[in-house]
Amino acid sequence: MAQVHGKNTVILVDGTDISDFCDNSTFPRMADSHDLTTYGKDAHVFKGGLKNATFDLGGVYDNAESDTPRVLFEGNEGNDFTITRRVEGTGSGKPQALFTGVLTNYTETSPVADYVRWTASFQVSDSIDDTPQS
Amino acid sequence: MIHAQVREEIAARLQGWQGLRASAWPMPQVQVPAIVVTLYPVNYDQTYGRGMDTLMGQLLLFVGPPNDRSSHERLDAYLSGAGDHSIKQRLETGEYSSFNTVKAVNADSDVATVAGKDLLVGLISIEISGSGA
Repeated sequence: MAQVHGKNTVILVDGTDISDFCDNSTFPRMADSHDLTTYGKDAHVFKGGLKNATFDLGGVYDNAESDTPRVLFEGNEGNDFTITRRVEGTGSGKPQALFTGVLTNYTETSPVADYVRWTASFQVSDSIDDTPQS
Repeated sequence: MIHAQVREEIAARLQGWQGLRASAWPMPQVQVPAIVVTLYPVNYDQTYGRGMDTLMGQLLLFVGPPNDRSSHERLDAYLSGAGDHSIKQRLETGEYSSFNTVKAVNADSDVATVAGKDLLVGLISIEISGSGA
């Protein structure tokens, strides 16, 4: 058992490795809960429902002409992307989440005393494939 | 970023410009106006996968005796944010191959003793970004 540093995280979007442009990502996994409480109970009773997830990432803007977050995402809001998240980096047997994400938000931010930054948000569509890397 | 190449490129951008003698490395003797590139600290892993490091540095600008008006006039010109002697403008409008961007963040002045002589010094703090790999 060991701690894992975030700097090794790898993010692929439609097969393009954009890790070099990312410095933050969050991947909350959720599920619906349904209230099945009946008469006579002293507490609510819940049952799990459909799963749901979102994926947010962001980092430092880059002006290269290809394979950057700007090139991939700008103007493509609402489109599907195939996203691969490798939280421990690339390597046989390491964990991987593979899913389809609908781009719901792409934002560029320009602080006066810092680098231009970007963020992107995805709604995960359908199930997540958590098969470890081969 | 290869830090030695970063030093050399910044010095090359300033060498001979507006009379400056620029050096990437410390100089045993200073003939004013002269500027020396110093580096550090460096911040590694600003993005995943060694995508970006940021490197801080300081340019030491030697302009002349601290009690001479001409030294202060020269310092004013070099440290101005605009004008044909602005080091900030000169640095930030350059194109570089060993790093992506350089920004002059702030500047200050001090007096330093070099080879037994007091000199008025401009201290220009710079921030450099480039690939970590």
